[in-house]
Amino acid sequence: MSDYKQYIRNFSIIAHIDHGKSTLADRMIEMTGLVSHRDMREQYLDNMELERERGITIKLQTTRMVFKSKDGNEYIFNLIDTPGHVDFTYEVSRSLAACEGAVLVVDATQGVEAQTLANVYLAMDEDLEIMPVLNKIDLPSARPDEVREEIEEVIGVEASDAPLVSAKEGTGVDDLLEMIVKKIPAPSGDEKSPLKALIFDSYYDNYKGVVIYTRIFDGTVKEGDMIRLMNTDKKYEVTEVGVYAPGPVESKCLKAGEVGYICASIKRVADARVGDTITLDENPADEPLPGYKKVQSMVYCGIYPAEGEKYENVKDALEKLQVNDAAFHFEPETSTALGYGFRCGFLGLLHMEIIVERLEREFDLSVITTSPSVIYKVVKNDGTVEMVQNPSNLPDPMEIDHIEEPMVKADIMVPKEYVGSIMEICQERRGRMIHMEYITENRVNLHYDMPLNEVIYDFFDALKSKTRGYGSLDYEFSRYEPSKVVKLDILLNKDMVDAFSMIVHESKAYARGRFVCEKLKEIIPKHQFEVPIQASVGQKIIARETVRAYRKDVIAKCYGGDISRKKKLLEKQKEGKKRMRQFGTVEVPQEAFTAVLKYDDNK
Amino acid sequence: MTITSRENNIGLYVHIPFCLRKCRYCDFLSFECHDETALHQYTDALLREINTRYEEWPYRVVDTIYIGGGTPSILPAEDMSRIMKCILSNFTVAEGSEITIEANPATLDDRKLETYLESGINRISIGTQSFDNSILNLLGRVHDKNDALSAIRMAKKAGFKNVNVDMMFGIPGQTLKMWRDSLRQCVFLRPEHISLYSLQIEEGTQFHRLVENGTMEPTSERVDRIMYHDAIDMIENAGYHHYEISNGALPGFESRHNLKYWSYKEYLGLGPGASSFIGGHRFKNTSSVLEYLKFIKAGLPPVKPEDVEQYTQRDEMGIFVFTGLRKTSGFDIRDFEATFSREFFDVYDPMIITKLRGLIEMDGFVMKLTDKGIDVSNKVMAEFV
Repeated sequence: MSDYKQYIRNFSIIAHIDHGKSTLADRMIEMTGLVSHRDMREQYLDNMELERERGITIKLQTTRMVFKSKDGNEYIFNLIDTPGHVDFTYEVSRSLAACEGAVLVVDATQGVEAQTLANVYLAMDEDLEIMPVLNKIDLPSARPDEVREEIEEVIGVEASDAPLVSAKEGTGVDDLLEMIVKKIPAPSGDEKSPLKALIFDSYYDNYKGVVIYTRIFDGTVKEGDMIRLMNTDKKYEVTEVGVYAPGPVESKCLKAGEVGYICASIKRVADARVGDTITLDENPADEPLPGYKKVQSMVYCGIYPAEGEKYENVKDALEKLQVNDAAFHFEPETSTALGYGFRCGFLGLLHMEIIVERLEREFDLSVITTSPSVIYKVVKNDGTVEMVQNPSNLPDPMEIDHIEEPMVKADIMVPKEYVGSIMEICQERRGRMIHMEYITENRVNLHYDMPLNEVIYDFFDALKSKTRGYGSLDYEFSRYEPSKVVKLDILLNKDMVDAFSMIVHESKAYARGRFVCEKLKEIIPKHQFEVPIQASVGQKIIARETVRAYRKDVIAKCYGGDISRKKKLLEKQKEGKKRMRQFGTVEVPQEAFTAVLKYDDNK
Repeated sequence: MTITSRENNIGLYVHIPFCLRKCRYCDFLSFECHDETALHQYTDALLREINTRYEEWPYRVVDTIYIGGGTPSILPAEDMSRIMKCILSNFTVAEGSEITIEANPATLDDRKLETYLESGINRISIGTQSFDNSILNLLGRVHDKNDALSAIRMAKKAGFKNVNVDMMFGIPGQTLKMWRDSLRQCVFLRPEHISLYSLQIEEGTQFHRLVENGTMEPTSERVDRIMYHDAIDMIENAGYHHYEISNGALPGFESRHNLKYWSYKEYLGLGPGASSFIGGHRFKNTSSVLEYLKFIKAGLPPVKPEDVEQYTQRDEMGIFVFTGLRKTSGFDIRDFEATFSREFFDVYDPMIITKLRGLIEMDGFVMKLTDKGIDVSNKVMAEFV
């Protein structure tokens, strides 16, 4: 019997957001006949509504396709998806570890972007065969020759034979499929050896429990096997194995080289961590696969039920989200201003935005989020260390010896005409340039050492705005570093509102204080009395604005007996009042909490 | 009962949605029209609506009629006369009814005024807005100060014993002095009724665009309120009765038609975009003139199903209160209770009085806005809807 493995190809598609990864995947699925064109929903793989809307992938999808090559053989293609954002670097690396090759999609009109590069490096770390493809070749602004050169120069992979495709129109996809057969190596591994299978994703299914996406490196697994997760050392009995094609299809077993799913009555996704190795309890492997890492939250914020929303409902929703998202966690906390709520940890800002948006959209909840914060390492006079992620928990300044803040290594890739403005915004955000390289004549990669605190605030918005969307960013945690940070408080009508408190660098306190006061002045409606808005550091007031008392709120003309119009207006006013949050005597609209975080171009 | 009680009489509102030119602040339903044939056709449609509407409410007695716009005086005199004839020959219009027409100074002449009086119209509301040419020009009005002055004189000379003058304040660029001068001029002419409108910058108007792009600075709320209170003082000192937030009248000349809106009385609206409250229902004619003409041609009531309000009794209670509060005399909560057969303070938390202290006051059974409450009346009214 010839080796089944020579007819398997396991690969990922790596691309920058918008470069057409999902569209290309759709086209491949369609062309290999998995889903008829009629049933094709745009971007089959992005199956969360939110994902499709934002054009990014959050939860992974994996799909098995059968491709009949011109060489007369049928090949099994396992397309392993990767999430598309800097917050999910570790997940990307595990998905890539499950492959032998990566199809690198580069937009022929845009060229290589920082994020593409970051993912290419991850793929190289996993020793994958990298196969470039130029997409969007149908657009008049496509410049394939230049981009080919750019790929060879920047990434150092041969691109002269890179297929030219238009995922949108389907042209060139055939060539690409043939090329996958030729260039991407078949998996190796021994189905007789002890089981070694990599978990590269998982999700929770109401009927089956946790469904693990896995790549089998060695051995075989089937229903009834007792498996052991080597890093967490937990045991489960396998209830089902199968493949995604793209819906789940049960199979007898999964063997070395194959990609599929395993169900084993696991209750929480957190118990089947991405990167962990599955082995058989009876005949375990000697050591787990390399690369396991426990994911760490980098960004924290408070999530509170908005006025009229029930605490229990928010809690239920957060629990449901957590079941499916090992990187997200939360615990109860209270705020004097906002009452009972939750402190939540995220991989990054995008991850946070996604969770908040899902709460609002999928669970129809209205929530207030407080300023995101990183985790500060507070070293006290007595030498003890406290990790603080909520500004309100910062110990008394008298007890603090010093505070350390997390630093990241940021790679920013921009067309050269934007270098100046990028340097400016990095400078403003306390970035230190490590070095700068011209990767092509026109494109520059800037390497910065930056406080994470500055990155999570509005850096990405600023970058996009200053480079008209052409700049891209990738970052990873590097270390903790002592820093002069202070707690900035906001007072409304002389009362501190803890939900607005934030930890900022000393040098930024004035500017931020002023900015927040100005924003709040715009947003807080007039009251019957003057409302002073103040920013303070310790006892010192560093910025002040005043919302003047209102004098007029009257519609003079009521036209032709159109009472309904007037009624609607009054109802709107009343509705607006409901969305207000009462702090002492001051009413604050809920959007105030997000508005103070927004990047302001005119600043 | 065979006699229809006066309490039960209805008002008729007739809308003429045409103007010589759209004013730059205007978001009312009106269109530029210089085509007499179109105006005739419109009049024909309106006559048909009057006929069919009458058939729906044959037993209701009309005791106020208000012909508004747009610019009703844009219609040729004979068209207005046809409209009045049609109303009078269909509806039962009570003796001594108040019958008003709105007029733009630039469109009036002696013949039109005579025709109005002959056809039974006995009150005229002149859209003066200001006596300052720079302000009139800024507003995009088609008339100037002299047109306004002569229109008012002509109306009086022709025999109108009840004249209203519309005045507007809070206009960008209008100084306090300009406003006082204009209003002084108005009071000097001694019309029976004065309307004082604070300019609202509404979406979709030229003014709104100018404010949005920063070319126009809206009047500050502070100045707007000084202008308002100044004006109220001025007209009260001249003997006018400030009976409604934006209206003053010499005693006995309070607008009976407008008071219907504020006293939970019924009215029937005719013409596109006109609102009705009758037989316990609230509905509005389609705002599209073309659609209106089509409905009428087909012999159908010009009301789309989505323009019939589905209000609950609680909704109506809110309307009763907020309309009642527009009158400076407020409303009697016993009237509220008689209308809805519910105790006022069962429906509304008595604490509301405390909450709105300084903005509303109770005078026996009467609830009304204080002077301060008038300035923020929306806030007060919003508490009751």
